[in-house]
Amino acid sequence: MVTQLGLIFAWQLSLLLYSPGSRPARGPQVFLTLPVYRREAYDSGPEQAGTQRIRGLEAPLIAREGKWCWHNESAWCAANFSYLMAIDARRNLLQVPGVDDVTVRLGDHFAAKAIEDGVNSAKPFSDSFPDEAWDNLEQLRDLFLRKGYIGRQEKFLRQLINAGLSYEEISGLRSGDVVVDGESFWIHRDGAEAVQVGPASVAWRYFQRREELGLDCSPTGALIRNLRDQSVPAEILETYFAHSRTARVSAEATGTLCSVLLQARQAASGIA
Amino acid sequence: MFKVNGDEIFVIDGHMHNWNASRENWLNDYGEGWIKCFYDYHSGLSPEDYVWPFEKYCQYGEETLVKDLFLDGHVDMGILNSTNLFEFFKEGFNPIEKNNVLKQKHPDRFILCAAFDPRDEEAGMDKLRQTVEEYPVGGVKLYTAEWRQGSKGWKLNDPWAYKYLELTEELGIKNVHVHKGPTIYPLSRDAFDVNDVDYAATDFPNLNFIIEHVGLPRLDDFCWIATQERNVYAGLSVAIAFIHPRPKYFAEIIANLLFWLGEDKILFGSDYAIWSPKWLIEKLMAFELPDDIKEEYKVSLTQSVKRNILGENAARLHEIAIPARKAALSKDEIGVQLASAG
Repeated sequence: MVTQLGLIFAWQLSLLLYSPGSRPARGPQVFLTLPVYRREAYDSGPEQAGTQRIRGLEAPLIAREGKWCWHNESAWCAANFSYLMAIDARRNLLQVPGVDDVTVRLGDHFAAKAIEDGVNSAKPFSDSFPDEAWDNLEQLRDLFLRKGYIGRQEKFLRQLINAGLSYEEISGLRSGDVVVDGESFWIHRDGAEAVQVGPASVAWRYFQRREELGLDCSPTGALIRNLRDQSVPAEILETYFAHSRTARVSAEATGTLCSVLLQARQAASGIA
Repeated sequence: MFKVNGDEIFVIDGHMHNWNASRENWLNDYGEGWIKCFYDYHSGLSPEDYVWPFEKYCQYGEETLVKDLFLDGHVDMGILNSTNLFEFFKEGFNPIEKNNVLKQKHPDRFILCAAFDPRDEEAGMDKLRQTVEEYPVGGVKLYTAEWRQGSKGWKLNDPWAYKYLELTEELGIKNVHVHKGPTIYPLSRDAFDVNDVDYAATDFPNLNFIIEHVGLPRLDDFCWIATQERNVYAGLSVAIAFIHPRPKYFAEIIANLLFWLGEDKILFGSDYAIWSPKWLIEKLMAFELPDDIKEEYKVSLTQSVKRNILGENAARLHEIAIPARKAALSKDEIGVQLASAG
């Protein structure tokens, strides 16, 4: 199936993530034990631990089994990151049709009780840690989202560069030039031969975050946009890419560290 | 000294500790949490053969340190950090008084770093003067995330911090090692932010700021600052530990540092005893950047670059004449032991 990404992306995204759908009057309660074992090593820092992975979870599986086990990478994962992951996980699970109640459990995390009490009763972070936190996590979440956007965009740009497109050509592309065909995405430009670029997931993830940040996703808008929602001119695109590359490596630091710690923990506890 | 093909590479471990985190020294749960958090880093990133039992990790002692660094670990000199953490440990984590004992025993092997905390205001200024008078201080190690009487940290550009930096310069200390790395339980995330380095480095051009752990996970912010400020350097500890479990990721980090900062501004550090220098150095010497990264970043990690990173950059900052120091080290107790071991 061929999908013109720029045209339908916003609609698909809202269906995928935000439509509450019609829930049955009472569904199974979901006990969520934090952190959930990661099906895929998350690669962009804690912002994805509670969002992308949860979105990637097989919702029917959760609804059927009523429980999903999470394995902690470290009992010392920072309380704010853990809180963010837990609250996102809970919120996203509550979007799953048939799930009406989610209780978070954090296992051996050092701040398990405070986080569980706070998240399960939807309290702000600062209320859960009155002596240690003086603000809530929205600023942190926003930072992660924005850094995550640059990281996703860098991976997307890299695919375009590797496909042989010049910085000048890339700078001239519109969102509507991106076409997803099965597992791949292509660039279709008027009067030019279509170019197969890379995995469709890279394009989806880029547009998904772009939509979340409220950046222009219209088919006629520039394909590469900075965080101020401006197009990036060809003459600075190479430098922009170098900066994005460093930002992506930076954003992957915590996730990489956590994945190593998780692996070590699993090895120690005999989890394959 | 790391020897390769008849070539000798002088090694300065730019970031190491002589800590006491034994149970008896825990002041509270934070002390316990602190060392357990460190232990997770140690056991999670070290090669299996280098993972210690927890009890040994809490307090390993001088003999183990000397063996791990100098006798087995290829290190010629170490930059000895002083980290107080008096709110977590009864006698502090590794205060200067204890570090100085080691320094006195092996004077040519260590550069002793003092610590200061601008929240001590005027009294702390006097203490810093006294410390420099009493101890052979070669640098300062700053821990902006340290807790103090309800405060969860400070910034390098706080007004009192500027007074301390002025005093540091006045006292003839040139090198300021600043911890800016991953959040460690129970410290606050904001206290590790690297933005304050930008101000201090601009306003104190005669001081060198060695940013330990390259600001991870704020590598990007760190790179922008270090590219702009000629007196900001990258301390590789923590980042280099990825070389074992995630070599490709390490390749990306080092490629970024070489790309933005250049080979003259990167300093090796093991963060001992979180990790042992032996495996870090051996892996670094054996490490080659993957071709795709070399090609994309247009950087290389040759033996000459590694030589700079492992010791020559730190030697330049701390004004160590390597040939003379090598000669002196060959005659100290450790040098004699190394020579007799062949």
